[in-house]
Amino acid sequence: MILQALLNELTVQSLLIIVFGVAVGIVFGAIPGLTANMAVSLCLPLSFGMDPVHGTTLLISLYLGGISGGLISSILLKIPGTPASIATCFDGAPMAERGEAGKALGTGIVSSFIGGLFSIIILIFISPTLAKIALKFGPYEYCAVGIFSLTLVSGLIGGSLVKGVIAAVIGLMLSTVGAAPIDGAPRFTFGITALSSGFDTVAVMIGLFAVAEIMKEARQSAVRSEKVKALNYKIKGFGITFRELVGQKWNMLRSAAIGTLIGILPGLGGSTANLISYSVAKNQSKHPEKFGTGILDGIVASETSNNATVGGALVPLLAMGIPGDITTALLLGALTMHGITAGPLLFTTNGDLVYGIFVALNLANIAMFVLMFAGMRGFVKMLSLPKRFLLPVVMTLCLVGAFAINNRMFDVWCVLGFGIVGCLLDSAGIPFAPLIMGFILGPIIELYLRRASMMDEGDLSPFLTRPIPCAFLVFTVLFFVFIVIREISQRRRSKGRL
Amino acid sequence: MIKAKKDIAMGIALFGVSIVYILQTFSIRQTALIKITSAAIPRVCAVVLCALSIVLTIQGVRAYRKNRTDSRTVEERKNDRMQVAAVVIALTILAIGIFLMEYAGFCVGMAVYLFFAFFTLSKYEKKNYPLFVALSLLIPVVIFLIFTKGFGLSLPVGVLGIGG
Repeated sequence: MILQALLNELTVQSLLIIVFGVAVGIVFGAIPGLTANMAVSLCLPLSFGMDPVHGTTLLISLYLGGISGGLISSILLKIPGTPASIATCFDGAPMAERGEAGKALGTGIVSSFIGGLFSIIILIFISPTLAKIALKFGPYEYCAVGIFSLTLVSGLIGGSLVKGVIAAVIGLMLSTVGAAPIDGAPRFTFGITALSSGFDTVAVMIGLFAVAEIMKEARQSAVRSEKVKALNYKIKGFGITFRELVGQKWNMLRSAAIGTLIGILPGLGGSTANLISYSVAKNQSKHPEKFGTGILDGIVASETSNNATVGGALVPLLAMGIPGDITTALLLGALTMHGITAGPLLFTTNGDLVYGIFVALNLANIAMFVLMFAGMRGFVKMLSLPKRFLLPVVMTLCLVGAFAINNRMFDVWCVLGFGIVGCLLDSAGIPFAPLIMGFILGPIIELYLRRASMMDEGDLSPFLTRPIPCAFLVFTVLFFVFIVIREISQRRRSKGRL
Repeated sequence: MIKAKKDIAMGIALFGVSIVYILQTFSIRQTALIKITSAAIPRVCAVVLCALSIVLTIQGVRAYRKNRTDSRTVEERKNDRMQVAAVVIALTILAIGIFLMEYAGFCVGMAVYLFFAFFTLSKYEKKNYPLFVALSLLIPVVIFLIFTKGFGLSLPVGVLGIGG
């Protein structure tokens, strides 16, 4: 059946759809503010005119391209293209500033490809089993995973632990603005209707990262400085050597596994996966102090995991008919429009479609790899443009993205508001990454905690009696103890040096 | 010393924010059905922020006591003031651009924003006014056309009703 699906997908029409989808997806992913979700929802009507296999192929290609394209602006502009590439900025941008943009991009592309490939293999071979395990996750399990993920935020804290935790708490507080989960009670809306849906992640991300870059340029341009010598951005081959690639094998494997697992769990997605993988890679590293200075490990962790969520998110969709995120919900909608019901029976009733999706995903992954490498030298040329021209234009595109989220000016004003907040926090040395992590995980933790409290009339003992949440909470405590001990020993060491 | 002063200021500001936030949580509607109310998580966050802001302030005060002297030269102080002014100007230009984008349309708002952004970011560079004008007029129109005609997105058209 898979051979038949391969033959069906290897037609000129299918290949053109894949190339078009991936290319448009990359453009959407690369422009800060425009996301993979947006690309899929804009092209959804196009898929209705196609047969189910081609329609799904187009949407999957857009999804994969959108997730992958985010690394371009993350590395070259230090502005994440999508929330799934936030962690790519941390090491990608310093490498680009050192003149290693080609190497950073090459590493990102290869990692994205491997992450995608890993999750596709998982999807093909063990999707029904994994989906069944994911279905065992109830509110207690999700809440415990969210709390555990939040402790991993320590990996994103650079200097002061107090400032890092403050950032995470500010993120959590920002996520509480708007209607409360479950009962919809308005919180901190001050009678403003637009605030009832809360702040959008994309607006927060653009405000903090993009406005910060413009302000950095404004600060630099305000004082007379010596001319910076132009860097040589020559790229050899793939940008990354085979030896460097092999050296990252465990990091890649771990990050791909994290990305796939997070992708399978509905509601988490690439925006969480990249930050968690980065934190885990940093905590596991023998040289955590090098993270954030521009090393391959950071890019590999972030990019492998975010692409791995693509295949992961399709696991519950195809095996159980449950969408893992907004994009897979749109895919489910497209399948329904074609009269196809996703779920366990899909493999027997529409086997050709399922295998067509598997083949399309593989081809889209290959197309992403080829297109990104083909464009890599062109992307890097962007760095030769003066930043005084480039950054205002990027800001204009960011505002387009912010407006396009919900077609309202409120999100554009949010960009400015979070830009100002970002400037204040930045000047006080409060990091942005834990803030974003708190902002993303806050609603997940709160939603499932409140659901859990509803299930057993406020009795939260299942957190300790059920094996999965209990294990995650034990990990959380152990990890917290480890962080405190590490912090104390680091302080003692630095005092000893003085 | 500057860092210590900033920590103290940020600590006090965050303490104020946490107090306002805690007070606001008392106006959140409560539902008897759910034991963990809508105000529970915000209150926990506010209490944690309050405690951390006190720690940050104390850390700042301690650091300030250790080093009260400002080691910056006159030139460095002047540069710092100029940098703060540049950030305020850049944010003001962005705010004006967004305001015009809402009321006069995307193209007008962004043309004004781009022109003044190019101008201010080129403080010590050669100012090529014809290039600034050409780019600031051309880029918003091209972006507007690509996104509205190409991708079918809608962008603010403002009171002029023509997208600028």
